[in-house]
Amino acid sequence: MSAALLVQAAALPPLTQPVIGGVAIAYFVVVAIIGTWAARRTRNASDFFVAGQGIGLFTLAIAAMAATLSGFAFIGGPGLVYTVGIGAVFIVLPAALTNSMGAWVMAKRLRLLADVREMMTIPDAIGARYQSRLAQGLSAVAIIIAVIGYMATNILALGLVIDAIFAPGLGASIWIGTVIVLAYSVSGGILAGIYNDVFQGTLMALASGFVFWYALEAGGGLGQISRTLLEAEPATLGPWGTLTPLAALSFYFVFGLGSLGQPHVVHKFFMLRDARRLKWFPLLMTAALFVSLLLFIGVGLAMKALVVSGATPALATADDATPAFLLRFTPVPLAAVVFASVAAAIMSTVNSFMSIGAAAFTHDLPVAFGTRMANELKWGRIWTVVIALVAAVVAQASGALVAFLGIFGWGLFASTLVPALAIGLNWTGATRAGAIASIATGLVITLSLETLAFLKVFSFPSGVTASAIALVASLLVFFGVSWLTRATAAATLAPDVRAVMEA
Amino acid sequence: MSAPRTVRDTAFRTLVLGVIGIALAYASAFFPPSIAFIGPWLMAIMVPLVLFATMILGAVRGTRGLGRLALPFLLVFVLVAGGFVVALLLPAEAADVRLFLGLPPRAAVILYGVGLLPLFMLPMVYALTFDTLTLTDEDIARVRAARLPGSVPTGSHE
Repeated sequence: MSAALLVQAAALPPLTQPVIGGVAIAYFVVVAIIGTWAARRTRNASDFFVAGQGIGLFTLAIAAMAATLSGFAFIGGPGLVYTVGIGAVFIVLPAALTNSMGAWVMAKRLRLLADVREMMTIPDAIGARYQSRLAQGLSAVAIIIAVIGYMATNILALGLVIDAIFAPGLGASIWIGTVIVLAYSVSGGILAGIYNDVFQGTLMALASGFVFWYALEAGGGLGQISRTLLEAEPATLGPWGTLTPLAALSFYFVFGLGSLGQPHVVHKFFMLRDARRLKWFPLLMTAALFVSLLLFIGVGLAMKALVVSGATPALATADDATPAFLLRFTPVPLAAVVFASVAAAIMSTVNSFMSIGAAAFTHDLPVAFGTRMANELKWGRIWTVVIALVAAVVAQASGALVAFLGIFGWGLFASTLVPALAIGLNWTGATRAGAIASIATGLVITLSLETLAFLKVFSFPSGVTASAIALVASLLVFFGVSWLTRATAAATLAPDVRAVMEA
Repeated sequence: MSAPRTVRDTAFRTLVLGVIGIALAYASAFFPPSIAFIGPWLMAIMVPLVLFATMILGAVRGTRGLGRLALPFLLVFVLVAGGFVVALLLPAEAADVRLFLGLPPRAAVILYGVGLLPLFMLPMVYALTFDTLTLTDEDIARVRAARLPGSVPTGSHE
């Protein structure tokens, strides 16, 4: 099982209907209004990159949920369930633990760090933890590489959705999508992104809940769906679907532990107005994520049962599962809201990537070289444009190239940031050398293994992925090098950071 | 060394052990089936072990142990790791198998046991213990008192 399955790069069926187009336009108008409002409130780099540390609990939870889910949760995910059955659920199954784990391991530490230092980026936190400009710079490089690839993939996916709804051609759709996200990201920065995330996340959750109900209804209930699948394709309902147990459990590991290293999500902890509001964060985030993921599981299983029972024609590709289900089994207005939600999910993810990518160029790389930009707000906006344009140009390239770039995003974030950041903020024995070595290991192993696999120089046994190997290797290097240099551990910790880690 | 330090040390050592176990599980996939069969079993135990050890590292406080968190952590670990092991142990179902809440037994173990049952358990535990075990006003005051001279906290720009 390859991470390439997580990349949305196939065309959707045509959706050119007046209601769908109308809802999509209404959705874009709301996004523009929020962007304009946020632009007026963006006065400095702190507003642009961390929303002036002024957001509340509900906003944080919904925005984190929206940034976590890309269009994959609505299109590629149900398609994967359709293809491999229950095995695909192992991508989202760790959500039962990850929100609470993130709160205990990351949220409190990052938010308290922002109380003692100026924290605008995740590399800022790494730099402060190890008093190391090199560690901060290296993590910024990892973020930049992953962001460009991730953004190209998501912008292509956004182009595919816009092309399916309005049919202006894929090339033009990619630019239209880029300009829309760019407009509110450049003017309002993360502030616009956060409040758009709240709107988009609410839309995603509502749409997912309704579609799940329709999926059960269309399939005759979960019991009938199971009976149909057990007779026609029993492997689909095995505990690992059609995957090997190792592959399914590997998903659980990479998406479980890897969730702690997703900078576009954990970066939002800096933005919370009051650290004590974290109390209800896991519950709210879990509830929002749970409802938003119902579609992921429900549509994939229901559509499979409907196809194997002959109730609906076979799909051209697995990614047609959601569009075909919506067009055949739900009222058009609901289908229209879901397609707007797909665009919403993609746009909220792209905006978050733009923000952390621009911050890496504007803030982290100069800091790594011992300097600061004079006007970080202005340069933040310039880099946001540059990153978006580069990603849009890449998205115009071949699907295979875009897929390749998108594949290693999650794995690169996980292997470079989980050890140094998530473990490092909770283990005083971690050292600067250990952090630098683990970030470098994650970078080198992820990029080299993914490239060699892409070029078909070799293939892994089922269940083994480059992302998993890189994550395990960077963790082991982190532990090993920190142990070898343990005499320096105490000197690595500044007193204020130690206070944060002991709180 | 005091008891709370022991909890932290134990969690860290468990984390290292778990990561090594996961590395061995992946390595086993490169060997013939007589060795490769051990991979899923290792993953079923070691992956939950790594996730819970990490969670404990985050939850344990400098001068305290896990306290009231210990039991829910243990319970959820048993649910997750036990669910994976049961799914590995149970035989494949026949088409007329009895369904549990609409799913065949092994899928029900995964979706309901590993996915759904723990879903709101840990968030509720987090919320209910937050004021005493996670973050108090005194903790925040102590952290702010440790602020270095001249440092500018986030969001304080105008």
